[in-house]
Amino acid sequence: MSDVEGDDPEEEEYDESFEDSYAEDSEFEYEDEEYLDEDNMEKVEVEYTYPTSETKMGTLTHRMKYEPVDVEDVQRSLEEKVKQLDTILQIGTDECRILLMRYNWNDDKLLEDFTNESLDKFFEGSGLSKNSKPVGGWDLIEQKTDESFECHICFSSPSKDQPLAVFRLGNCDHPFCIRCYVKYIQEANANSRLLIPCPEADCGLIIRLSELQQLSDYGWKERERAREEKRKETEKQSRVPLTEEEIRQKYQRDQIEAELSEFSDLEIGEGETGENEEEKKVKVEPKNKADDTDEDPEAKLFNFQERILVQEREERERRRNQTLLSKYWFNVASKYCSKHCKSFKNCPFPDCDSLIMQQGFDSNVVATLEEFTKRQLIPTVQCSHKHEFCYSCLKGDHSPCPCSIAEKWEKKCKDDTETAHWITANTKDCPECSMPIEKNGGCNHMQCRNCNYEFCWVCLKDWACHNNSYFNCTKYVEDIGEAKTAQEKSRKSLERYLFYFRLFDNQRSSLSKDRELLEQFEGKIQEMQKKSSVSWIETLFYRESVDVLLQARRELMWSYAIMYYIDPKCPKQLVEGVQCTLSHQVEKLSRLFADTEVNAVLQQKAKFLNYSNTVKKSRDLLRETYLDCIANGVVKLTRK
Amino acid sequence: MSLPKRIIRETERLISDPVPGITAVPHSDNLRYFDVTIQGPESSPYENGKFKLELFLPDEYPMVAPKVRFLTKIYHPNIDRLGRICLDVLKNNWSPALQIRTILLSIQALLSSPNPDDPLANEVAEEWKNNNVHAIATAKEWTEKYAN
Ligand SMILES: [Zn+2]
Ligand SMILES: [Zn+2]
Ligand SMILES: [Zn+2]
Ligand SMILES: [Zn+2]
Ligand SMILES: [Zn+2]
Ligand SMILES: [Zn+2]
Ligand SMILES: [Zn+2]
Repeated sequence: MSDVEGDDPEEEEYDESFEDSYAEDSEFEYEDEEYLDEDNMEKVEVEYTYPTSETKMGTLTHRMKYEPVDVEDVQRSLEEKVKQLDTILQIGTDECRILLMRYNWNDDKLLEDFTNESLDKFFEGSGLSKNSKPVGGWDLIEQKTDESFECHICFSSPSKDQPLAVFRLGNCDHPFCIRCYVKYIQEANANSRLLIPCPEADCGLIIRLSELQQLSDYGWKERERAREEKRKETEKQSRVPLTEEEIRQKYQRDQIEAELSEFSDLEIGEGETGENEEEKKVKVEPKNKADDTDEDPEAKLFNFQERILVQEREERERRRNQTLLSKYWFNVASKYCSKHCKSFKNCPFPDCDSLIMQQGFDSNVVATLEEFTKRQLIPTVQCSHKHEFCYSCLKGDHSPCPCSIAEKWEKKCKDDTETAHWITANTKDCPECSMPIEKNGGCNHMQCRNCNYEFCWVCLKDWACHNNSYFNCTKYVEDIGEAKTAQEKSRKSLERYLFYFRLFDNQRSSLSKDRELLEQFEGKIQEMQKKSSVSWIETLFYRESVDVLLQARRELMWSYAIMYYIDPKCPKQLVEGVQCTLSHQVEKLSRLFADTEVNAVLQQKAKFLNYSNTVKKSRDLLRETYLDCIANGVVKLTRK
Repeated sequence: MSLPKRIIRETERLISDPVPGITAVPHSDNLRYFDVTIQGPESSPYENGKFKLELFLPDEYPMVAPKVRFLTKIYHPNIDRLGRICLDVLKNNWSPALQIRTILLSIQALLSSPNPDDPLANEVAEEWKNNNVHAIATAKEWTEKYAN
């Protein structure tokens, strides 16, 4: 079988023969090491999962080593290799890239074959054209009008008034309609093929990257056009009545859209579930100069360049994991990872194409992920786009809650939604004057607008009693007296569950409310940046504080889930103490956000830094305390 | 789901311009499902046999290959007891520019020239390589017994 697939038997043969010589020859081993090292690749530091190898109390912990891999980094490093190879072979970068993929980036074997085999045979065997024309000045896309033409995939032909857009490779004469070509590449991408041949059965030429680029760009443009059409359409529709001319235009548009919708269906991935509110990217808006009269030309140029960079970045961001080309590079990166580590996973966040390579464990007892999670450790990793998730269960970060507990808890919450439903209400009456109060931020420190009474949303008691470390309302008073009847037992269990669920749920809704609030705020900050000369860097502290707040809320939330599973007879004062402290500090930081006007943000910098540092410290302490308590058997996780 | 133009055209052409020795008729209640017969090629152990196959076009066709299986029992190193066929164009070498017609022709060609070095039915392949005369006799015997 003359396969062209990346992982075909033929290729494995290369690998095998390679490994044979590897075993015999130690010099070769060294070369291989160097090759694997990808010395061009900006060496990514191996990262570790939290916490440090020892907690403050001296409990030894075990960490997982990992390396976040960014598709663009892999691309850069491979392109570097492609260029190097081309300086030797001088056959074009497109061709060199195909050869490198064909040889699994083993350039030694490649060069050996290149010098030993006849050039014709070598080229043909690799799916390259001997007289390759570089893709460039001329277009590979053509509007066919010849009615005798038929696409060999969908059997469509152009008609007198409807030309057919076709695509062909630069080195063969096998045109297919673009729509079929796009579908074909998508199918190949879905099968992780890196060497994609011309769709014509007997051709055998491998599609070059610059050809793929043209096809990908075309698909992207069509998709954007279809989107724009749709947007205009909805705009138009909201404005009735239509004139006769408008109806006629609408009819035409409908037709165009029907044509294009196939494209939009083609290109829009399933990734768009809209769930990535969690880590909305901080968008950088270019600075708008109100008047550029008194600005020096250099600054102007700088601003211009900055704007271009920002636009490029945004465009890249938008295309990420969305186009034929970006999906193709994602496959290349996956292949790269599979060569460099035993286990890798890709980031579960929607539309994120980052990968994590697992590099073993920083421990002499833990060797597998299973052993790792069995010790109630959490392999939280951060992808190159700063998404935090659990490498084991691929959920968003759930520390300090172990995987098994997090899973149990989620299941329980799902099963008990009905019972717990009443808790989630967003209004409560002021305990002082009974005026209904709506909670619109994440902060649990409430103040009634009517009577100015300050109270705690969780327990409805005076806030004053929360202002010291006797922050008591997050501690459950265990009723350890023997339950006499089954009914009593189940009542007790439900009460306990509801207590922690309420805390969990409260943090969850505070989290989403804080996020909402901060997003609005983000918009205002951007406006402020445009008006004044505040740079993005100068407001970085603010964004970092946002991250700290949201992350701490999430960890606090999960810490309540663990509490439910702790054996009621265990002394849990220690963890409760840390939990309370963190909870109070989180509220303080949250309050600071709520109380700060946009134009006062910079003046409050010191406060933001101070508060978020305190939160960070307590958060680390919380994780370590849990680890210590579980490791020392102070608390036992028992409940089913 | 409506039938793509390609499948309609292909079916029309299979009927208007049939391949010698091959028939392919779609079911009236499922136009993606074909009853196929292939005549055993001349001067092969399958000569004079008439082999029944089933062919199904998945939703993704022609981006993925059709599914084909022998219904008639056949003694062949590249066809297993369940009638599954080991043929590169049905797997990795599938191209959307290939058609039902070309696939059936490839299967016919496989009957003329078995490839025991890329076997699906291991025992048959062993026999084919080590005891060729006997293997061919068995193939003839099976053709007479089952493919009529
Ligand atoms: Zn087509
Ligand atoms: Zn071609
Ligand atoms: Zn990510
Ligand atoms: Zn987990
Ligand atoms: Zn009040
Ligand atoms: Zn507060
Ligand atoms: Zn309280």
